[in-house]
Amino acid sequence: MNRSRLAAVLATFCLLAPLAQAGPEEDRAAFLATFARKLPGVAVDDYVYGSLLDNADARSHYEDIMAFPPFLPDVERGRDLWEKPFRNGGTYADCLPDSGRMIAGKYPQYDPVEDRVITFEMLLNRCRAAAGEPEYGYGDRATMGLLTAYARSLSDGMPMQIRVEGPGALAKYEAGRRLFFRRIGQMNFACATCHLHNAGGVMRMETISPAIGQAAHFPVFRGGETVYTLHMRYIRCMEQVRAQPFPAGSEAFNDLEYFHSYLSNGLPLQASVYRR
Amino acid sequence: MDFDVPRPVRRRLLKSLLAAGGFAWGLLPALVRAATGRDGFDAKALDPGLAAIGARDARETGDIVLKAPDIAENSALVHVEIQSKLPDTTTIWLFAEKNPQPLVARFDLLPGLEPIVAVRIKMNESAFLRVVVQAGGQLYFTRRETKVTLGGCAG
Amino acid sequence: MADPIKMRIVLDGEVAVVKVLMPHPMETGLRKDPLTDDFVPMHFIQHVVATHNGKTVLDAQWSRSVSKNPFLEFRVRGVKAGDKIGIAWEDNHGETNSLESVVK
Repeated sequence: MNRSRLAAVLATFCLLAPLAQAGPEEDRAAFLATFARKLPGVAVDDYVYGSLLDNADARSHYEDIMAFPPFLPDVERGRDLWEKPFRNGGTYADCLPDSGRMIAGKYPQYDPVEDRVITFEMLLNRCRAAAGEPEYGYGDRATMGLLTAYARSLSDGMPMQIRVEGPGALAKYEAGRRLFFRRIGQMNFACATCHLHNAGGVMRMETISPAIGQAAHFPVFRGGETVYTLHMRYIRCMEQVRAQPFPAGSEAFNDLEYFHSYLSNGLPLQASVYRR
Repeated sequence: MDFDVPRPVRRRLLKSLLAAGGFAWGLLPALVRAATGRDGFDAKALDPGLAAIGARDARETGDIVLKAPDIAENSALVHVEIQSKLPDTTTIWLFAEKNPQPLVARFDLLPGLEPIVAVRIKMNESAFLRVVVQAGGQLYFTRRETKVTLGGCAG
Repeated sequence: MADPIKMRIVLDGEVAVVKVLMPHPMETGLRKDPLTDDFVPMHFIQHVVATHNGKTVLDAQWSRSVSKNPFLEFRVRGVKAGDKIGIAWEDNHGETNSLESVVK
């Protein structure tokens, strides 16, 4: 770490020190307390069902679809991408810790060397780059979308366990948190407007999902056929509030995903679920 | 469990497919359009559809269980389960009453099949789903409404 | 050529609960290609047959209103391990596909 970087880190640390009480765990507790009020009688474990959480009819239909989802051939295309060796003979399983199984719940992670947030999808692209393969676009459904739909499913059931330790990590978490609360777009909505302050409310005939639980169940197949990674979903949210979206894979989204995923800590990851 | 079917097996399956329609081997495309099993599929409204299968006077019954969502959050993917509790059920028809062609499916149950089927369908708009069952030579029906919503914020 | 049919069979006593997914676009003819603005031609599975040890147990006729990648569930009586359950479909273009699985 060079001197100016060190100074910056120290400055950040000093700035944040007085706020130490309002750390990530306190944020999560505050969100939980809000949702306990706004979603009375709904178990925290059920937050992962999002807009289906208080709707027995929709939940039953969801289970019927998930019993043999129509997007299974797409997930299998993702499996083919996962299994196909790189030109150097290596595979994602060779490249990733624990062969890529039960690891997605630890991402995003803060990388202190690069001073940035590393998402699970960036990890997949790092494997590609290390093998001399071109990286996949983070907004590309046919490659990264399907690959991560399969790769994340190898961590199904793993509790989310995002760590925010040290001032560098905290700075990224705070950047994500600021974006979550920032009102944007022509409609002047923040993520928090819907998914914190109005969670459990009804908009356009459906229940607004709480921010806790959301990051644990991506990618989703919307309409049972179109894959959406979390970043693709962020783009959709921003379009809906008439804001200019950040690109998939952007630093802004990586930081948002870091904060957003931390909120779901303890909830089991389940990739590739059905959403309407 | 999935595997490629050896040619003889495939041939036999297709033959059984043909035998079911009572048509000769080799007329496959023509057969499907010609089969009496297609009666009612061309009808552009419920009444002519029912008339085509002779079900206008079918009796309403509680012995057909029709499971479908009250609200279809995605009109292109509505999971429908049908169970007939009527003895000697031989045919089940499923209508989405307001689809451009309301008859969606016909299931002919041969010996060995339980009278329970499930299928996923598209619905054009909020409508009643109607199931007609032929059992013991008589026609019965049940229906229930499924509302279709627009929107698309779910995530 | 369509993707292979997928079949899952669970034996519950002597009843086989069979769930099938048949990859197929199931085009209604009412959908427009977003690039060309032309209607995508109607293309749908219209005839499905299920067999148990080669004997037809279910004969289904479908319309274009069945969802994309159709799902079908049915139950066959008098099934034991080692028996074979088959599925064959034909669409309105005359294309066919089939699969036979051994009950475990």
